[in-house]
Amino acid sequence: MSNKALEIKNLSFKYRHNSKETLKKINLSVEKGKWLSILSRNGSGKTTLIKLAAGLLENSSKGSIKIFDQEVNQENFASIKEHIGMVFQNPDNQFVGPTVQDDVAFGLENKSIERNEMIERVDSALKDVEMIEFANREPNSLSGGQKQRVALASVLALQPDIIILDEATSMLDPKGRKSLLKLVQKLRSQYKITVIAITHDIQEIEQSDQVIIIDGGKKKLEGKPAKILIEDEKLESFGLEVPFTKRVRKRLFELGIILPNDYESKEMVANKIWKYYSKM
Amino acid sequence: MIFGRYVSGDSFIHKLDPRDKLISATLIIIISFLANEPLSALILGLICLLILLVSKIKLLFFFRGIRFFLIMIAFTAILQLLFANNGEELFSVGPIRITSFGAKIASLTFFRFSLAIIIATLFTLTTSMIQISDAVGYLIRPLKIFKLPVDDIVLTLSIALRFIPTMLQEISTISDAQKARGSSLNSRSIAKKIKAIVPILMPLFIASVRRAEDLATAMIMRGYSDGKNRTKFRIMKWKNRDTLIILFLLFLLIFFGITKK
Ligand SMILES: Nc1ncnc2c1ncn2[C@@H]1O[C@H](COP(=O)(O)OP(=O)(O)OP(=O)(O)O)[C@@H](O)[C@H]1O
Ligand SMILES: [Mg+2]
Repeated sequence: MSNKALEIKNLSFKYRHNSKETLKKINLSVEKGKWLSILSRNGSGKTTLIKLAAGLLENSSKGSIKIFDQEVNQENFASIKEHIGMVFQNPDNQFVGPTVQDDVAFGLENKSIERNEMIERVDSALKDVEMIEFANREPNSLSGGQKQRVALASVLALQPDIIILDEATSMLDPKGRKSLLKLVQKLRSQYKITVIAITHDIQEIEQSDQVIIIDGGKKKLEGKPAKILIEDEKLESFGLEVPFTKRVRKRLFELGIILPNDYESKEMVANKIWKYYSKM
Repeated sequence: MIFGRYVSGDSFIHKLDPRDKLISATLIIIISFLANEPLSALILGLICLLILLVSKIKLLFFFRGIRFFLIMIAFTAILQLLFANNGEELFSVGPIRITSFGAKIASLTFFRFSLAIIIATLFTLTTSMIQISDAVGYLIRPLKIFKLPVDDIVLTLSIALRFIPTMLQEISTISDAQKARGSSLNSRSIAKKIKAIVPILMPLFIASVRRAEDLATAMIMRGYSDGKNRTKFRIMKWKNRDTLIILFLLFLLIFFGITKK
């Protein structure tokens, strides 16, 4: 299999009844096993982009979209969606089955998988997301975070190569968000899954290998999280919140204290401040 | 009101095949219409009591739950008792004549309808919605001959059932939000009440459309195309005891059918 999980070249897109193009000449490539974060303000076309990538919308432009070297189009849709698992924002809207295990089994039933194998795969997917004790629960007795884990298990049971998270953590509390992210990270390295995540969450961006910022339908910035997250003026101008550590650094700079100017996690900045403080 | 509710448990009745329970409940109700004398009524009554005891449902909870129905049925029966005029007179108080015929149909009405309510309630109390929909889906399978998309219907039904609690929760969230904004939902005036319902229905409707779209996308991405060629994760297991129960009820049906006067 090719090393390129997703490759988009010169992709533009316009919804039929809209006058303006939603996406303009997007180029993007994601290597197998990497984690890409897509960032932008509301309504700037992230969901449209991933729907195109998954073949859920028809690409009528001259640009091309390839998943593992296979062109995404109507004819290939069946084999394209085999590669991809999607988790959406609203935990309730993707829960199909009456119970947790039924929901995980839904995709397997569709693929006419024999029942004994189905039971095994449901079990192992639920163990992977640490939800096995909840196998018989009904969706309404679960928290949002637990429902998202089930959604992840439902996708995992189908053994995808790419997992797309469309703001999958945005309706969760900080704790639920953190633990879901940890889980995705673990599964990614365990199964060599490529992750494409739409997000507003700094933590989620910190975890990724590659970040792109889309604004007004165009790709505006691309790079490693450390590089993107220090561009605070640009981030702000795209309507995104500047990371806390960056704001701290800026305030300190104004007070005459200079910390090295590359982006680091909260813990590391806190450490640096400690060191600085003890030297005083 | 407990009709339509499910109380999970692991009694013998809970564990019976839902198809068996559905057919048996129907059979018992049919039999009750053949039973028109004290002995056969007694037998059926005892069967119901046995089911109730075996199902480990608390008697007080059960009868409190169906109290409303029982009162309504008793009321109907009393009316029949008072207004039936044919037959031998048993006794009379002023203008009211109680006849043997009146007594007979009143007791039959009370017996049959109470029994139907008891059996139907026992069925739903011991069988979850999803089991009922599986059982119905199985039993209407012959309709496939008429090109009825039975599998799709059953899946649709099961998804609808799964979303009922979600939507109820949503309704309560939205109406709380509207109340906080001074909606007149608790007002006495009917007109005001109806006006207050619209701002609840609209967000609910919009949320549902959005949900349907998300759900459809999620189902497509997980490989759903139509009901055909799907394997089943949830299965029903028909056991010997299920066959025995049906045979016993069929025997009663025939027996009462033959001995009916
Ligand atoms: N089915 C559709 N038909 C027409 N226009 C649409 C459709 N779906 C989305 N749009 C428009 O396309 C633009 C991009 O929408 P999209 O959902 O891709 O944005 P997004 O970045 O995912 O937003 P959000 O952050 O709110 O999820 C928006 O202006 C939206 O109004
Ligand atoms: Mg979106």
